[in-house]
Amino acid sequence: MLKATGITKSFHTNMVLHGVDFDVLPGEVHALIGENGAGKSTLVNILSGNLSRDTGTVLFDGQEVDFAHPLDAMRAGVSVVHQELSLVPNASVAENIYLRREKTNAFGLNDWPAMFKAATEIFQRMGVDIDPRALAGSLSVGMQQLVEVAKAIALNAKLIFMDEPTSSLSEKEIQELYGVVNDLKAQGLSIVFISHKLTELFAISDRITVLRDGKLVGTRPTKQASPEEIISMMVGRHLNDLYPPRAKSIGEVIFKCRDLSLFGAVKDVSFDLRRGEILGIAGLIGSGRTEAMRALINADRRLSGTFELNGQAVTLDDPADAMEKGVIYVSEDRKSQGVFLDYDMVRNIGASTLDRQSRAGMENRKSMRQSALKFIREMDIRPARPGTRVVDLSGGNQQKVLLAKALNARPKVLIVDEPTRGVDVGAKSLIHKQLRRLADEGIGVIVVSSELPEVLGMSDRLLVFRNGTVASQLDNNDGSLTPESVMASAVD
Amino acid sequence: MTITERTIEADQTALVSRLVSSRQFWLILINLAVICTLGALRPDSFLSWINFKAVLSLMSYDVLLAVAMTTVLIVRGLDLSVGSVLALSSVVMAMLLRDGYPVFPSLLAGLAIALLCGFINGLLVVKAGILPFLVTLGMMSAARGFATVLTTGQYVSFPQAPRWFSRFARQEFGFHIGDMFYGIPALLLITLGVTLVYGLLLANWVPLRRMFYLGESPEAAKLSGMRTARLGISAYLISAIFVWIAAVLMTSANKIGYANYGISAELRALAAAVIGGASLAGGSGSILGTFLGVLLLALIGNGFVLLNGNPNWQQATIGAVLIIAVGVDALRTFRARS
Ligand SMILES: Nc1ncnc2c1ncn2[C@@H]1O[C@H](COP(=O)(O)OP(=O)(O)OP(=O)(O)O)[C@@H](O)[C@H]1O
Ligand SMILES: [Mg+2]
Repeated sequence: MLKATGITKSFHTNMVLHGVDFDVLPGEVHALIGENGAGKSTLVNILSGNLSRDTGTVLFDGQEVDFAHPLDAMRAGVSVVHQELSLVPNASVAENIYLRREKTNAFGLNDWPAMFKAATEIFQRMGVDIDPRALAGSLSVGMQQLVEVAKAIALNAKLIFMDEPTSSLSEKEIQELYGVVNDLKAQGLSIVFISHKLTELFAISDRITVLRDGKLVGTRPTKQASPEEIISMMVGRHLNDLYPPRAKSIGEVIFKCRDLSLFGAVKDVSFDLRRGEILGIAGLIGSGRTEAMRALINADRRLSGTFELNGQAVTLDDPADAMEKGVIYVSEDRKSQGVFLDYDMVRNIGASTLDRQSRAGMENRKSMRQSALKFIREMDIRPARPGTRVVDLSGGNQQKVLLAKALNARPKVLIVDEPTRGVDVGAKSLIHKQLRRLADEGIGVIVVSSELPEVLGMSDRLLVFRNGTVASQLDNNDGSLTPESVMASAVD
Repeated sequence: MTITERTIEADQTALVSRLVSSRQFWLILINLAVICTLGALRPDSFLSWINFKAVLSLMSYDVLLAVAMTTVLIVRGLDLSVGSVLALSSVVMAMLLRDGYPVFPSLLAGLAIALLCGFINGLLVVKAGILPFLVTLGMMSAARGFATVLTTGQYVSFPQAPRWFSRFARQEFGFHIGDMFYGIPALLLITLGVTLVYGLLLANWVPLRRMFYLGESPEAAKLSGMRTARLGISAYLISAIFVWIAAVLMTSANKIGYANYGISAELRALAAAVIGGASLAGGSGSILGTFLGVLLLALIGNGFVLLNGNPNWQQATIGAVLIIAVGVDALRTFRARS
């Protein structure tokens, strides 16, 4: 189906792919895995005409091809679900799906009914409930990701690249996506599936290819590989202890939230957060997890809510006020609500601390640089050059920068929404350890995540959201909660 | 860990390449090239003190307005009303002076009206969420219209006003070399001074630095603890202050207030700011860049006059330079991507 040999690619002087060979058979699901910055997205971008390659040949359907533009690749039957969402926010979902390939009627005008109908059919096939007339920008990140998948399906492609399609989907949507992938495969399509979630790759792939530092480590039939083998291929060493140990001791309540409501999305949410514990928040997409956390810092104007921090009532009037009090929320949408893409790591990591890192009111770049270097080292951000613009970092490293920015602001209560979205196993366990360390130091940590194993592995206590309310509070201090018990309260 | 040392070294080698890839560096070279070309073609008329003084003084107003424009561009805004608000502010000050009010209250009234316009712009853009293009297009029309109604389109002179006011902008400070007196008008000195101070503040002072973050990503800025609404409105107020300074200087230098001051100045200001590195997408721009942008446009204009070119070509050339600047940017981002 597709056979690429000797692909190399450099950005400036930085060689990102070193002669990578990669092939895809007809009707197979081929998993691509590797650490953050290994070059997976770059490879996909090259094979789909989004980036040009330096050397190497690509055979597609037996013919040598050199896609100069994504549209060329689409015409040939190659489509991509990109890692970073690329929908047009002010256009409807259907328009996005048929962008530049609009269905037209006899007058050459857009045939809206046909597009809405076709989009609805695709969603039905995928088993998801999204209104094709809704504006793409009004959907949650998870929904947007599903629209990206629908867009690729609508192309009637022969080969679909999915670059971390499940990174912000919850368990239920992921299962549905697996169904879609298996359907497509049964129809003879080939799918290249990138993910950092090993269980996922083992569940759906036929073969697994591992990249490390831009080099091909190897390709294995999934049936003959074990997770341990893949991990050691990825990182070049063995990793143990996927999750850090749980809280040693749980102390007094440090943060209290009462009757938090947001119009139409969140209703009467109340919870306590204790010293030393990590509070997990689980729930399906659309269950109001993110909305509740945004309402808590009043990023979206809430209807009601009272809070107490270390025994004192606090108002949390707006995100700035919350940050001054020490309540910091890290968004799930890192590209548009998290990092400043065109700015370098120094400016990003210092964004919330301009005041603290100033001298006589003037920006103190030296101090900002020092903090950046400190976090680059602590979180192993690569490349370790503080002057690198965030847009040039791989997805996982962008996520680390985002976390570094929040940590730099010295939170008392840190709310992280999908803290390891798109982060590789090694980095993920590093972030988990950091979060646990913060909790041990007495900082309140709330982890919102769609990834059940993650919330289960991390949290001492779990709030399960359903329809904008807390459906249940589950104790997990002994780590005995099972995914089934959480799912049971997440779905009605 | 050697990461730190290696990093610092890498950053230092990057310094040279950063200079070469910096926009100001190229703008300085281009400006020098234009100066050399004109100097070679018209050594007598171009390379004279009188000509330099004229070019620089005339561009003072454009510098101030372009600085105003740069400020709002940084926060992802736009201000098409700079020229009209200049006229309105000038007319108000001139009328008060004419009616015998003392200088300072009159100037303050001019400032107040400019700030009011800026505040309305900022409020509608930031709080009501209307596109800055539409809001300031409306203000552009409204302010000019109001100024014309106030004056019925006539010049407003103020013979009774203290003489120092109608003189100070043209007052020259300078030095003698031999028999020649090299004077620099206050108008130019004030413009350069204010611009320099503001440029330094914009590059270093924390409250102004935040405006860049706001323009780069409003949502991320908000979640990073910045008071985005306040910042956005402040940008329009700062813009208004620069417009007012231009109005004071223009009123003093010409000794009249006039409702047709600053027509199409907003387009030159926008062009200069964009040439200087500001972007309609927000988050970038610098005062040095903007200054160099205005200088380039002024030199081109001067060139047309000295070479007896058809002045109508001047506007076309400004447009061409703008398109080239934007084109080069697009090419650079495109190349960086592939
Ligand atoms: N436009 C660019 N300019 C410079 N360097 C880049 C650019 N895009 C990517 N890189 C670098 O190329 C390397 C590979 O990045 P890539 O995005 O392919 O990684 P990835 O394997 O997809 O990682 P992740 O799992 O984090 O998404 C990284 O070191 C990254 O910093
Ligand atoms: Mg990637």
